[in-house]
Amino acid sequence: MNHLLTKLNNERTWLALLFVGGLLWIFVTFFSYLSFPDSSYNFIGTTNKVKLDPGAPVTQTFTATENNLNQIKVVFGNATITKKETVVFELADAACTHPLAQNTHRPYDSSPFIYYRLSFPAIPDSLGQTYCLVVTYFSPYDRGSDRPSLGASAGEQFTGLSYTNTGNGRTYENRTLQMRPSYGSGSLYGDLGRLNDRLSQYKPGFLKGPFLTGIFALFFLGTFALVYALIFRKNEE
Amino acid sequence: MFSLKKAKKLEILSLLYYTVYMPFNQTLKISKKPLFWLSVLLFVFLAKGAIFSLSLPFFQGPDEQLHYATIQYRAEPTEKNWPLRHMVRTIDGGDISTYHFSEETIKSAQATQFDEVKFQNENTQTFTQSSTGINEPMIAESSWKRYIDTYQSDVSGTSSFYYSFGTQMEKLFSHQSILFRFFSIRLFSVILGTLVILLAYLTTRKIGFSAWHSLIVASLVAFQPMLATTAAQVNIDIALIFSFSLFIYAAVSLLRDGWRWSWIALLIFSAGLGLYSKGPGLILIVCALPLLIFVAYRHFTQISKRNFFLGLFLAGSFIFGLTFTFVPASYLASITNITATSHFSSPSESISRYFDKTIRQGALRDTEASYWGHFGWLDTKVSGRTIDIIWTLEIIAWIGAILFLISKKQIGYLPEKKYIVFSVGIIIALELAIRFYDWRVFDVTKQILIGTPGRYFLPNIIPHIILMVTGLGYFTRNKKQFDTLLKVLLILMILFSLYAMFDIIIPRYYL
Repeated sequence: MNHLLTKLNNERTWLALLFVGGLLWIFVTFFSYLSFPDSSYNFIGTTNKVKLDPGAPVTQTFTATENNLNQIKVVFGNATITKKETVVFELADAACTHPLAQNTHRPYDSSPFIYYRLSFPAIPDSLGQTYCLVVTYFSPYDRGSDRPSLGASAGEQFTGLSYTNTGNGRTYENRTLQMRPSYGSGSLYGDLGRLNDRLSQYKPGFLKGPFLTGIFALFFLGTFALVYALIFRKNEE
Repeated sequence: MFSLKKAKKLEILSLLYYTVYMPFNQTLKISKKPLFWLSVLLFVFLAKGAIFSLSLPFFQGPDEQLHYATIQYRAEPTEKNWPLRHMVRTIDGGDISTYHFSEETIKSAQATQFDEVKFQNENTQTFTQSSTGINEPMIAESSWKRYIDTYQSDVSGTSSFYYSFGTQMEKLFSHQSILFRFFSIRLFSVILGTLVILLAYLTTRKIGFSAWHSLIVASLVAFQPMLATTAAQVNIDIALIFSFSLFIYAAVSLLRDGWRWSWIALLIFSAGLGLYSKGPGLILIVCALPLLIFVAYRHFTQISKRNFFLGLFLAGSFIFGLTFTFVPASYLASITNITATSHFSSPSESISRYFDKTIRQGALRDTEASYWGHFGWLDTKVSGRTIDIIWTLEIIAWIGAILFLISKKQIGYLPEKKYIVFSVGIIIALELAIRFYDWRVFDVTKQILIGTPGRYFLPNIIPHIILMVTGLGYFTRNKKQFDTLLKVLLILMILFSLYAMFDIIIPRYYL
């Protein structure tokens, strides 16, 4: 115990803890984002907000275009909710009845960065299968127009798509929730390789592929060396 | 007895010892020197700059399409021997094809989904499963026209040395694709940014920080994510930041060493460079005058006051005369809007309305947030909580800096007060210049069209960081505590930079 206290009293130890702790937090977040959304469409044209009614799910079905479906990204607005409120995001079967995965957004969760990410273990044979996104808001309060909302888009590129708001009992044809099914590559190495590919697109040869990997490696090497030299050297008297 | 064979073996061993061990030993010694780590820092900044420059998709830095089009326009042959069309300008900010740029600039922007991705952070480029984008071969093999054939063109009319260098690069790599040329110019910005980091180190050394402390302060500047991204874009902002940094270095050198022609020459050169970077560079000319007067007043003590002020008046008139002779009147009129008609009944009404709109918590917070982390077309933002933490630290630092200035005690490990006064002065000067320009546009249009995004204040990043470090340092009791404080700040800044890169920019554009 004394040994531990002495160590913690040592400046270098807590500086190291601060740095490593911060790094862990950053990279845990980064790896939680590391999934590759369907980028074949963008939300251009008319957009609107789908206000969530308490206890009434908003649903939309979609067909996976790849294997290893492991996330659904949804534009989720006014996400600051108060005590006793929750928003439940579910992946369900094609009939929107049996949940396959579920995440709950709670009052003290931080606001999502651009998209809310419904994460779940990868479904290896998702290609061609139809799934349903179900979003349900639970609240004992009447917040009027200040309710959480989902983004939605209309336009030619969304012909044939639709979502249903059970709050008002309407199905909106030729529209879509602003959502993107997102896929993994089956391994961390594969995911990093795929990210490297995405970063390489529309770049000149000297910033592509292995050169890009090399630049990242040199940056990390240099930064860690710098941290070691500047932070873990002896204090100036 | 040694045989010849044994002797040769020994020779080889000693050779090995001297070639492997000695350099290693020397490397160890070098690695304990701050200058070695300064070179590591500059190298890291270069690598980081390259990463930031490839993380932002083509034309996704603010106004990059305009700056690149300007460079390309200036690289055109002087003799325009192609058919020119004159059309009325009807710009739609959401449609790149409405701009009078070259066909190559417009088609490449469209091929990389410029309009879809800009300002809309839920949109990305359409990716393939390889390292080649869908339209990349089309861009690489295109024979699109590289010149503007529709006038009046929409390129920038600003004179900047950044454009001059960019134009040379555009010509040098004219046989390469637009992607190659564009990203090469981004890397030129990274090099300018690296020089800013070097100047940050030299400036902090000059004002009395120890070598290691200077290195940490320079690292704080290097890892400020907004500076890194601004130094990774095709934009004249980085030219202004470089000019300011050079000016600040020359100014603190003058303040420390007194009247020296080398520093005066550097000061005047950097002020001129500022003028030849971007509009707000004009403020450097304004700042140079009182500084020179101050230094001259302290230097020429043997001259009578009457003669000193007479000389000063003549020198001032000469400088103003030179400025008004060489700076075109149209340039001065455009940055002051002096010839335009005001929308308000009086200047005081105009100013009070302007303050109502801009000096509010929300507006100030936007400036603060975009100084630290609004990337791309300002649509890629770090979390508000992070900005709150930074803002709190800055308020404490400002309080510390004020207490330091009004207190009588001199703290050995902090810079002399004259440098802090200078830092505050140049920060206020740029603030006034930017707000003056913004107000002049507001006065004429009744709208906040220019605004005060944080990156406009980045030219003062070196004095700003020095001020923050000094202000926080005021609350430390000794050098050891100050040393620890700097280490903590550096860890936080490095983490902030990594957070911006891996949790904000990359997810926004690629995940």
